[in-house]
Amino acid sequence: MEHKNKFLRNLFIILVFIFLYLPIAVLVIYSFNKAKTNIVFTGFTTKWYTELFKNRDLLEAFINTIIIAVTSTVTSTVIGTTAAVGLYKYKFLGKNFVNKLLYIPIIIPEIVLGIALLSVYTLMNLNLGMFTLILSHIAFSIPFVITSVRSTLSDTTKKIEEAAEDLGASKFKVFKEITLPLIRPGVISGATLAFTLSMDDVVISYFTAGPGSNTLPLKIYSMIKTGITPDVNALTSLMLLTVIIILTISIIYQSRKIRKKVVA
Amino acid sequence: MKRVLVELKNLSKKFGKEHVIKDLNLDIYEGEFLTLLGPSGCGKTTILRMISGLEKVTSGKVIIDGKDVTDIVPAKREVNTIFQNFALFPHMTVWDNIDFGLKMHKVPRTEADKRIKDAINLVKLKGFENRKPDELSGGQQQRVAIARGIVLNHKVLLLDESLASLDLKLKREMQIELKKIQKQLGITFIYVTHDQDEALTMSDRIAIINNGTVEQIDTPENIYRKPHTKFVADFIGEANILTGKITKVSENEAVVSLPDNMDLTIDNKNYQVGEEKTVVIRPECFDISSIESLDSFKGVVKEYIYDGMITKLIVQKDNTELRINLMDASSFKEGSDVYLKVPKKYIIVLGDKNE
Ligand SMILES: Nc1ncnc2c1ncn2[C@@H]1O[C@H](COP(=O)(O)OP(=O)(O)O)[C@@H](O)[C@H]1O
Ligand SMILES: [Mg+2]
Repeated sequence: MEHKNKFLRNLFIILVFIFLYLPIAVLVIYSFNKAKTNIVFTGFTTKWYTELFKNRDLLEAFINTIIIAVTSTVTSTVIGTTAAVGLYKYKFLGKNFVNKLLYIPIIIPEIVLGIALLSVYTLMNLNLGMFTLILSHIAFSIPFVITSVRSTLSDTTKKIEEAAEDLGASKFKVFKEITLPLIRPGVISGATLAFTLSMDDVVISYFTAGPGSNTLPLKIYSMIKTGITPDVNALTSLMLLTVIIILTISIIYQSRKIRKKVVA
Repeated sequence: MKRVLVELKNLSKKFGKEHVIKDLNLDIYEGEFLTLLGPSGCGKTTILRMISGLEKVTSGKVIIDGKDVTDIVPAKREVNTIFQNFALFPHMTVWDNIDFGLKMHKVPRTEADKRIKDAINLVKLKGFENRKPDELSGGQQQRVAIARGIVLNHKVLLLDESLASLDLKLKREMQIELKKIQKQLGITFIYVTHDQDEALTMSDRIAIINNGTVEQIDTPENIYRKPHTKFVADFIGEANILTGKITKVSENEAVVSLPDNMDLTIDNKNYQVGEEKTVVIRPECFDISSIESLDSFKGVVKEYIYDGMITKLIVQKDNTELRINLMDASSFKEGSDVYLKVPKKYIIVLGDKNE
């Protein structure tokens, strides 16, 4: 009985993994396919990758994506972390309401947020382009950063900060020596989330991009209108690689601390 | 004589409309172990936090070592706190936890290292310097908290239910050890607890806190033997609390008549006939016998509870239940008649002055 359960459980886990990762594997495999269609695999080639690097449009979209992702991640992480700490530290009228309000940008459909942002930019007479794209990405990332940082703040954090104050630490020292190290995991996962969300955003970028500010996801979106070609596969494989690298760095960074603890 | 080290003057604290501490006055002497004892929610933690500065006072003054610190931030007050759940820094080793305060006070490195080593020896944590708090047991975490609190050599240590989270055996050990550390260092401990046994065994003086005021402050023995109020009598130990009237006075003695025809003879302290008095009788203070004698009153054993060292009897006297504790109760059974007397030196009359 026990045996059978274990077998079923393992089978289930394997099926879930196949379901999740098979499409990704197919995508990566076909990016090395000689044929121009995604139907039969006729031989190995890296020509789609080399072609990508000759495509000036794509390269520009790629650079735009990275610029937007990096600036919006840094900005939203700083703003989001400050906001999370402020929301946890200070009491003010309607604090509960503000806390609830923060979830709205997370749960409302992206398309609504996209249109809303577009209306604001039009109202303010802003020219659509890199600037509005970065602004939009900052806007939708902040609630994610706040939520992530806030999950590392609790009553215990407050007590630990008070202990530091009691031992002679100034407010600044408390923040630097105690609060910041305690919330670091939340800040890192918030930043990782912001970066990956920005990297692959289509909907909001679609509304807030202007001429000359194409991003990679938008470019891909326009490419597949004419059918999925191997160069799209190659491009998305590269994006996948970028995200994997970011995640690995983030995981290594966090597990280094754990390992240090185990060794000590 | 003894020097007052911490002085609380007309201290009040309101949280919104809730008046938590009400015009509290308290003098704490240099080198003493003072316990704030009271039921949960009576304001003990709030008092401690106002001394450390973590809570602002609504009105009144906090004076430490002759200096008014009421408006001074916690970091600049020469007191340290050992918090209820230790509040150790989870991202720092034991050594760094203890070092933190020294760094903040910019104590020179060689001096700091020496003090940390001394503190670690004192709390018996040698060999654990490089552990993180979550790699320590509850008792060890407690020791780190103590070391971290004493390493700054401040004259006052505040302890908020510091042993409450430890299991009973460890708690007993730490009680003895804390007391030893306090004597050895000669610093003032202001200790908060709701555990009366702990308060009685550890303290030089106990301040009974009720409803945000000091109900009584005295030595453990006086708190037990000479409670001033019903609340104190009831909160510390077991007590029979009865209210009656003075019915007879002579030159030296008086009789207080309690409900259900219990007449007790007490020393006359200027009582007037007709005056209402509340008396407190501890359960171990009864003379009990199965034979009637002069001045004794009769009751019936209603319950007989064997409790190891002592036996607890509940004796029914008409409508009154009396709690009586005996070392040897083998001659009494449930349902048997007993005759009770109370020697007058054991009768506590509430409201007496200068006792
Ligand atoms: N920060 C606070 N805000 C509002 N009420 C509080 C706060 N801290 C304590 N209180 C209230 O003050 C009263 C006394 O609390 P406390 O000093 O913690 O009692 P104790 O330590 O004796 O259990 C309680 O009724 C509690 O609810
Ligand atoms: Mg408390």
